Parts: sequence; C-alpha cells; structure tokens
Amino acid sequence: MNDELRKKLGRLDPMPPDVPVESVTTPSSRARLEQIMNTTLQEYSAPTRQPRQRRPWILAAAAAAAVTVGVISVSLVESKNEGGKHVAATAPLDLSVPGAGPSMGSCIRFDVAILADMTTAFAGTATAVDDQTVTLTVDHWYKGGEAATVALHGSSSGGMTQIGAFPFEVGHQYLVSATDGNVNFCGYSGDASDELTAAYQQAFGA
Amino acid sequence: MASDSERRAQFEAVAATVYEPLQRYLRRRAPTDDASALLNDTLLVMWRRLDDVPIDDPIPWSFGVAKRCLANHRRGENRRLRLVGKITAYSQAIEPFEDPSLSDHHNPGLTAALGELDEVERELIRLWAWEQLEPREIAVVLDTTSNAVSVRLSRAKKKIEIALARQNAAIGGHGAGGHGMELW
Repeated sequence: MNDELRKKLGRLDPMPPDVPVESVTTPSSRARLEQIMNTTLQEYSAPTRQPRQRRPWILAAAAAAAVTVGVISVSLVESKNEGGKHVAATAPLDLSVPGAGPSMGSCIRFDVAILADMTTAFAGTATAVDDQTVTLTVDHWYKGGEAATVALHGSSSGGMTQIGAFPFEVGHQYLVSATDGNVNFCGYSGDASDELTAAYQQAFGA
Repeated sequence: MASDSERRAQFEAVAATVYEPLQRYLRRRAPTDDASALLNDTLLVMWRRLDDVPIDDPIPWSFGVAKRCLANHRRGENRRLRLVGKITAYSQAIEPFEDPSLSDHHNPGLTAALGELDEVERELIRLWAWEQLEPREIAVVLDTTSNAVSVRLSRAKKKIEIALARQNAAIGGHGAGGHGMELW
C-alpha cells in the first residue's frame, strides 16, 4: 500500500523528476550563487540568551550591533483612565545594557524563538530624538504593554542616536523589544522593515 | 573559523546538493516567479547560517529554511493585498497559490481524498510522496520529532485509504460486480 500510494500520489506532482529545473552549473545559477556569496555576512545577535536548537529562524533585517552603549532605561508612559479623567501615569523601568567588557561579545544569533520570549515588544514611530531620550508613539503593541508612548532614556556616551548602531529619526517607525526592561538592540530591535516586521509577527502574532 | 575561500567552497558544495531539490520544493508550492525569488532568499539564509547547515544531509534542512521563507512571503503578500484594499481577496490570499495536489483533474478520486486532509496532513503527504522524504527527514523540515511525523503521516495515509475505499464502494455499489472502480 505504501509504495503504491506513494507512486499514485507522485502522479499529482507538478514537478516530477522528468520536469527539468535549472542546473547549478548554468551561468545564471553561477551568477546567483556569486551574488549570494558576495553578500556581507551579518552577525545577528542579542545579549544573554542562548538560541534554542531547531527553532524557526528568520532573516533579521536590522544590522547586528556591536554594542556600544552603557546603561539605558526605558520608561513606559502609560495612559490610564481614572474616574473619567484621562491622565498619564509613568511607570519607569530602569534598565541596564551590558557595558564594555568581555560580556559584550556574548551577543547571539537572531532567533524568532528568542524574540518571542522578550517581555516587551512594540512598533512605534519616533516623535522626538535627542542625545538622551527617544520618544516613540506606539503604533502597535505586540506584547507587554498598553502605553501610548514609550520613552527610551539613555546615558551612554554615544547618545541615543547611536544606540545599537542604528539611528533614530523622527517620523520613522521602529520595532523595539526588551527583556526585563533591557532594550535589545542587537538585531532584535530596529527599523520596521518587512523582514523584522515578519519576525515580530511570527514571534508575537499580528 | 573557516577562511573565506573555505567558506565559499563549503557553500558551493551545499548549493550543488540542494539547488535542484529546492527548486522543485518551491515550485510545488509557489508560482514560478515567486519560486525564483524564494530560492534566492533560501540560499541567502543558508549562506549566512552555513555553520548550522548539516553538511552530510543538507536537503531536509534547506526545505525547512525554504518553508519559513515561503511563510514570510505569503504573510508579506497578504499584507500587501490588505494595504491595497483587497480585503475581499484576503481569504484567497491565505493560499494564493493553487495547491496542485488538489487541482489535478485527472485523478479526481485521489484529489478528493487529499481534500479531506487538513493542510498539515497534506504537507506531510507532499513531503513524503513528492520530496520522497522519510519521517526523520520530514521532522527536520517541520522542526518536530520523527515520532510525531510517523504518527501523523500514518494517520494521513489511513485517511486517504479510507476515503478511496469509500469512493470505490460507492461506485461499486452502482456498477456490476461490486468490486468498484479503481479511481487512482
């Protein structure tokens, strides 16, 4: 039954062995492979966690960051409705990012499974950027909050515009994830590219 | 760490092994134009993750990467359709590519039997019958255990068998001899 069924099912195959496909040796295949091998290798990484084996992996869009920050903090400016009056309640989280030292090399490869374990994740548009603070209006919460605004406070010498090796620009949308208050810029946060958005959707659902 | 030339040689060897099977895998599941772009995406991931590629048996692993590229592509396509306001097309956009295993009109019995399976079971059947993979290899593609694949694959085959027997019995009941007609 097994072999017979396999054979019969094979007749439904739109790409059976007798249908040719492009050989790896054709000029266009060679050009394709050359182009790929000339692609700059990026080290997708994040501080602390080890990747799980055999979990889904997505091409991360954000450039890996050689972490150059000292300590940053994230304040979640939460909006609450109390007694019919709309007020803002700030619940600041003081977070630290590993400073320069041996641990700086512990960033690990990007993995959606690790992204999914982040306690905070959102898409936001930068509304104000200076050396110490980036303010983002939250466009979508994936996980861990309801605030309308998130402020990223930095105290690194490089300033917030340099954190994670990607610049914040007013009006641009970013995807930001954090674990226990630590914003992970190391490939896990960055411009809201299609690839990173897809990774967030895979990790947290739309 | 391998030198650049060693890395390139290693990738070339892997690519030579997976290049044609990957094309078949993708063209079974995506329109030809998309399949070409998805081949690029898949190979690019493999190039970047070359250290993780099981060199002795890279094909199932490459299908696993292709599967995720395909899923991302479909999600992106759905987002695009939503953006241009084609909300009504959304339900079709979930499966923008007509499943060839369900659209072969020359094998109506078998096609109907496959139609009774859920998508996960159909994919197991495709990987087994079309990619000619064994359960341990399918487990690599789907990132699950070999045992789980074996159980679910057996169940899927059984469902097909039952569906075909039912079809044959129905036809046999209307024909002479009662042996039924071979539908597939």
